[in-house]
Amino acid sequence: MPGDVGLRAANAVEVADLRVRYRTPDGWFTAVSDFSLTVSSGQRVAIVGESGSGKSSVCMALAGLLPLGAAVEATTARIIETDLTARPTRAIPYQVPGVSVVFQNAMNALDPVWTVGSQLGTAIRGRGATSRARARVLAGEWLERVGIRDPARVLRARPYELSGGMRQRVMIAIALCSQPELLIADEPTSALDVTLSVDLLELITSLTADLGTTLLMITHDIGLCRAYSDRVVVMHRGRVVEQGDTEQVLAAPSADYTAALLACAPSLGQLNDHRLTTMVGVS
Amino acid sequence: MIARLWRSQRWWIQRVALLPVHLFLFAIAVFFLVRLIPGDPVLIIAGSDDLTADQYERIEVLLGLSGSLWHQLMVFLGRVVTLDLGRSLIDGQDVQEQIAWRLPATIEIALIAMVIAIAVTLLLCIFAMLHPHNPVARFAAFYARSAGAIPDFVLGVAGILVFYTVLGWAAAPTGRYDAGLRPAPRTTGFPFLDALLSSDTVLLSSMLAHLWLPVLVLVVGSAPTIMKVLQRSIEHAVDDEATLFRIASGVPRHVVIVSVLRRASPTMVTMCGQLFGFLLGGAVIIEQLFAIPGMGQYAVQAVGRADFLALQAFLLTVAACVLVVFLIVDLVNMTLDPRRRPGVMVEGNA
Ligand SMILES: Nc1ncnc2c1ncn2[C@@H]1O[C@H](COP(=O)(O)OP(=O)(O)O)[C@@H](O)[C@H]1O
Ligand SMILES: [Mg+2]
Repeated sequence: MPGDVGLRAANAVEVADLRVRYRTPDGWFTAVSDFSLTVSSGQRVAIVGESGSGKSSVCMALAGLLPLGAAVEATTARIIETDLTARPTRAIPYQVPGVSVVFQNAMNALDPVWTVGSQLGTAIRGRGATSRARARVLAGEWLERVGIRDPARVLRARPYELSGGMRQRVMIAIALCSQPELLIADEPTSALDVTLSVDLLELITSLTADLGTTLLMITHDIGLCRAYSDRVVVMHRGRVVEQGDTEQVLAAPSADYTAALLACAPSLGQLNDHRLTTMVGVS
Repeated sequence: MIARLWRSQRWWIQRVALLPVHLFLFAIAVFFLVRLIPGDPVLIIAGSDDLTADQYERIEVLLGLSGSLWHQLMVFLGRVVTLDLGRSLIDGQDVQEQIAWRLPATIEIALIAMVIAIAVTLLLCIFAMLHPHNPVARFAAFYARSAGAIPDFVLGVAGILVFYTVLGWAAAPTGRYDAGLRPAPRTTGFPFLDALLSSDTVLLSSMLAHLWLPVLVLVVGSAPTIMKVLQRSIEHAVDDEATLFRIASGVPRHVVIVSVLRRASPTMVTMCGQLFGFLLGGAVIIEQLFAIPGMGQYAVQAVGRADFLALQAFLLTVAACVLVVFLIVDLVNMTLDPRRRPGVMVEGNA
């Protein structure tokens, strides 16, 4: 609820001089360097850049989910209440408290062998004390909230029995049902067709707005930023080339790279202007 | 209602129904296999060439070798279905009775070894998954790489040398318990279980003293095989996006670990099925080394004496055991990973 916002830390993300390196057979490969970002609570920030520019590396670093073969350094890295620089690295990482993630392809992100009901149920119960029966009811409600019309059937289904759009909705429900303070969405709709991805982006932005969740969304489509972000960070080859207010950056890009991205952006940005008031449909 | 039940339960009913079909096909394979053994079984069993036509025919009938191949096959299948595998012409013992007391004895050792191997493997792999840089984890990785490097009989001989001859920790390799002790009354047919049930402590401690070394040899020899498989599939499952998403959705630690293990386990379950086959085979060697009466001894004896009926029954029994184990493997895997159930379509982008 928007009323909660006052209780939260002023900044959801405070990162300075983030560097991400991967150990490869021919030495260390630097995927991200000199990355600084501050996101105040409740803001929607988009990170854009071409494929391979280091967007996912930033995401996973902020979510604390990079594998052991990756080295993360930063002068400051505070996410919600957690100081990332003080966290030990683990083979199987721990969640950064209050941070949820949505991935590009729910087919890979959802657990293939458990039912949707079980996965959503465990996420709702989290580490809290909700009873199984209560979690089941809440799970049905969450499925309705993300626009699924027959929650009873979907709860019993396994991910591979659903359509691509439904799976993506289920993933969003699982990510948001714990009411996280920060949602990191790594190209949440790139695998879907245009109309579906606009529907889902509206779903994500409206749900995060309802929950007062800060949104950090990654996309390689700069056109999408206009309607779904307050601020935009443009990345190129692991570095930030430009960041600022979305309207300003898109209207008058100061970096050549941003201008180039804008010039070749697909028409999604224009499309969603007409669809801003569209109801969230079922895929 | 019935239709719905059928649709949801079909996957295991169909699989179970396949078992008799598989058994039938294997029985036919055994039928031809034993007929490929060179030499005339009748003459080998009679031990001489000068038989009267009448005598020859009588033995032929007893062995199920009279008449056309088709007729022989029908007789054979009839005997298999009625579980009447005959009486050995060499020692006059009922083949079935022999197998009925030897099979549980062998299965018992193989099963104990397998349960211990699986437990050790799971513990080491879970530990290594959580603490990959710990020396114990490094040892586990090294041990897993040694899979199949040392044959069972080498381990067996080395074990006897070290633990019996030098250290004297194990009892002499002279059977399941000390000579002179009486076996426990037969209740389940599994000798160790019977001893446990009879609460005959002298017998039980003698059995423990005799059996720990052969079981250890089987465990040490077989654990790396499943460990190698499980370690690799755990590594894959940990790196999977599904694990990251589970973590990021804020579930308790044990849910994450169970999720990883469930995704990683089907390959290990399959491996365990094969391992059980190896263990039955390994038990043959171990039984010889430690003079433990069981299926292995029986097979060696049957081959040595060209006991046609005993050999045939041995092959049938082993085939049946392996088929039942594969049935269990399939059912467990289809339960763990429903995508393996027949008729399940999965998009090919995983
Ligand atoms: N686990 C890894 N090991 C080695 N290199 C990696 C790994 N993950 C990503 N990279 C490299 O880091 C760079 C940035 O990748 P990524 O963060 O996935 O970019 P994006 O999400 O913008 O496409 C790429 O060149 C990629 O090849
Ligand atoms: Mg990416």
